[in-house]
Amino acid sequence: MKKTNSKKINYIVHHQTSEQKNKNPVVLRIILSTEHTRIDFGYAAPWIYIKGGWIKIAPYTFIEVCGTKRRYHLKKTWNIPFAPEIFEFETNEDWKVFSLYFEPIPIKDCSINIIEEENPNDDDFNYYNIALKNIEQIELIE
Amino acid sequence: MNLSKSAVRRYRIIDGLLRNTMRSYPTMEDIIDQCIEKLDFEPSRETIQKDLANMRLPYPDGFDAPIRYCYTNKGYEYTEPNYSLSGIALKQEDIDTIREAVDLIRCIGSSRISSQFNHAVEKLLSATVESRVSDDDRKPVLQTMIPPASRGLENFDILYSACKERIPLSIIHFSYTKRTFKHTYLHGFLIKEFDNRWYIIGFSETHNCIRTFGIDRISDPLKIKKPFKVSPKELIDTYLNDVYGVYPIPGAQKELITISVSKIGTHYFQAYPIHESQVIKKNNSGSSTISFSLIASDELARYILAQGNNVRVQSPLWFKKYTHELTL
Repeated sequence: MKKTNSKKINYIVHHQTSEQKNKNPVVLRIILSTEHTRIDFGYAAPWIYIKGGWIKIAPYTFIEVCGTKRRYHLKKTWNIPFAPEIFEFETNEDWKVFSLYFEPIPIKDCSINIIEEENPNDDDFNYYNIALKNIEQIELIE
Repeated sequence: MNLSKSAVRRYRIIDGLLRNTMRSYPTMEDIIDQCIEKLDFEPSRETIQKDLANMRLPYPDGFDAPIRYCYTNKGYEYTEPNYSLSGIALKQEDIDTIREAVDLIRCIGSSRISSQFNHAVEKLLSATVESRVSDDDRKPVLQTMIPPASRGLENFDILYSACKERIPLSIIHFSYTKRTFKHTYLHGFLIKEFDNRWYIIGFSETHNCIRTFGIDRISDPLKIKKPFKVSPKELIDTYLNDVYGVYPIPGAQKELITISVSKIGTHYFQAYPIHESQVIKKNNSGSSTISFSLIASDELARYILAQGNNVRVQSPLWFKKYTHELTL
């Protein structure tokens, strides 16, 4: 009988912030497990808004592994509301770290796209070709 | 064991009745009457039954109290006559001493630490006194500055245990000045409080050197499986002993820093030395030259500036210039 390992394993990948000049929010960490794929973002309220503006995420946001057509849908969020609800900042000095939890992608090196809107404007959170390399290198301790 | 304050008080009353050799075998009514008398509150029979059951539970869920109902004498008893709820027989003076210590820690500790400490002490004292003046009724005679809970303190436990158990962390850090996010794998070795702010110091893989991170700017630290990079002992000792504050000026080495201090300022430095290496050489006028053997830090520069005309940097020259430039 094949022995199965029921222990939950989470791998963490730090995404290069230096490659994300002028991106807001920035993709910071990707955590992969058999339960979900979690992506951590950092958002600094922009100075163009007097009170820092607001953030929200479309509930139909998804990720896709480059070269495949399957979509991995958003399951839950942390620290950011689903649209149409919004989180309003109080000042343009405010900042926030938030997480999006998607259906789990296969645990192997790949590149992913994060798509909030298929026809995006400047306010939408779309990211392309995020490389996940050596993903089994660093494991989280539960 | 999660104990509410009211439950602890009832346990104390029950324990007191069970240990009272002058009037053995208290009944359910005796316990309820005593609660009314001591707590000014009438618990239900179900509450007392639950309390008795909780007290009987083995450690760590309960107190392992050998309580049984004696059908012959129609009351409750300890089957082990020497049993006491805490297992430690504290005298009133011991209790008073512990309470004073609690007061002191409440004053000097952060609210988070003192609340956990309070809970532990509450458990210790739970069986030793039948009644005491509640905390709310006591007027404090000692007060230090207790800041309200600050951002990031919710991560204190994980940061502390990571330092203690030598486990690297994945952290996200936001820079207030650059307004940028960075992540790093941090091999923390020290959590330090300075001026009511908390910091973690350790080897940062992103920066490839030892760095200080304000806990208020760290988000969601995660423990990772990775060999822990042990920082050299001498470096840790430096951060522990040779830095005033938490942010040593990059490139600064431990050296003699000399300041000239006014008459008024000298009184304060004399009364409240800022570092153990402080040496005061007084002039006839009462003013002084004060020296420290320290690694110059941003906090030291700001402290000197905050003293206004009372303090001037004499040497080294680079630090004199650095401090002056902060005012520009």
